[in-house]
Amino acid sequence: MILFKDKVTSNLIEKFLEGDKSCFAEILKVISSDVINLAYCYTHNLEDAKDIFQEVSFKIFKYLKFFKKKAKFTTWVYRITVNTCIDFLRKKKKIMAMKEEIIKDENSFCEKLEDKERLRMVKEALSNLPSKAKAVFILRHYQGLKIAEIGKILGCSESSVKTHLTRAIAIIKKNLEER
Amino acid sequence: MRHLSLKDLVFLYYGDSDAGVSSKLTQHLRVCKKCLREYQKLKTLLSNLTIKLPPIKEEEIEELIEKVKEKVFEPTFLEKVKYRWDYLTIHLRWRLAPQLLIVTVAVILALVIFPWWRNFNLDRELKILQLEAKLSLEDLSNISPFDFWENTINSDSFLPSTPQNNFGQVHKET
Repeated sequence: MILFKDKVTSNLIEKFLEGDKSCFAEILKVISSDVINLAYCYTHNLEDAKDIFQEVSFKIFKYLKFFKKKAKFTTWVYRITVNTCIDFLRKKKKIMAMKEEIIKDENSFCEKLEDKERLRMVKEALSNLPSKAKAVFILRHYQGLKIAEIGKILGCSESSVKTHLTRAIAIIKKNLEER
Repeated sequence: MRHLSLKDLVFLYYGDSDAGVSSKLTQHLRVCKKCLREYQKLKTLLSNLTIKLPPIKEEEIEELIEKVKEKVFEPTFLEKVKYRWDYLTIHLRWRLAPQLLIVTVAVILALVIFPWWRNFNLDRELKILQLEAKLSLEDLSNISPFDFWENTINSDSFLPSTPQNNFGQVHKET
């Protein structure tokens, strides 16, 4: 699927760089679901995920001319998305700290109490993870990416990714067992 | 017997270990109940950590992309001017025809008639000046140098005598 996307997008990117602006919307359509899903895994909020998608789109538009075709386009997009998510959460954390607001549960899509409880559990489990371990866990567990690809996205070795993944799961396990 | 580490179990779960390694791990799980229990626990834990992604409609994504496009492809100043011009000429051409006609006539008047009127006035003033100059030159040509000499001899002083001075009288006494 990723290979297919990369083939499609590489053609679109070439056209876009040649000056065909209409291709940009097509590129966004191809990557939209991946970006929104990844952003949602980070934020657990659909509106925030949409905001992140917009932010990522601006970055792609701005830096697409600098994209080196050495790496896959999806890898590049994932890297931008992860960085944007981290920045977004950092900003949001600051705002929350300033306002001292109680975070309301905005996930109206969770109709069942069971789902709400599960989401809260996941939120708690992920919130305690270190930044890199969290990124690795999300990319592996929720996005289903291979270790090598995660390494390329985060700019670290495969062994490092493996260590981060194990560490993330160990922390989650410990947190949930303590509850 | 060496038990499996969390790392082994994690890679077995995600299928990240090599084929040979994973078969060894599976064999171990068949034999070791403790590791199997740990593996089951890990499986339950990770399967519970699923996130139900909210349903996103295609229209929502289209809307988002449109928003991005609007911001990204914001027209430049020249493009805006061109757009306005196109709008005026294409969409409002017939509705604004009388107003446009009036404005055009006014502009033509301002550009053609005002400079012509200004030049006309200047020409008139120049003609008057030329006439005045001509008249004064004619006066000068009528006066000879002898007329001037006679006038000075007969007068008491080179300076004109007026009731307020006594230039003429002083000259006579001497």
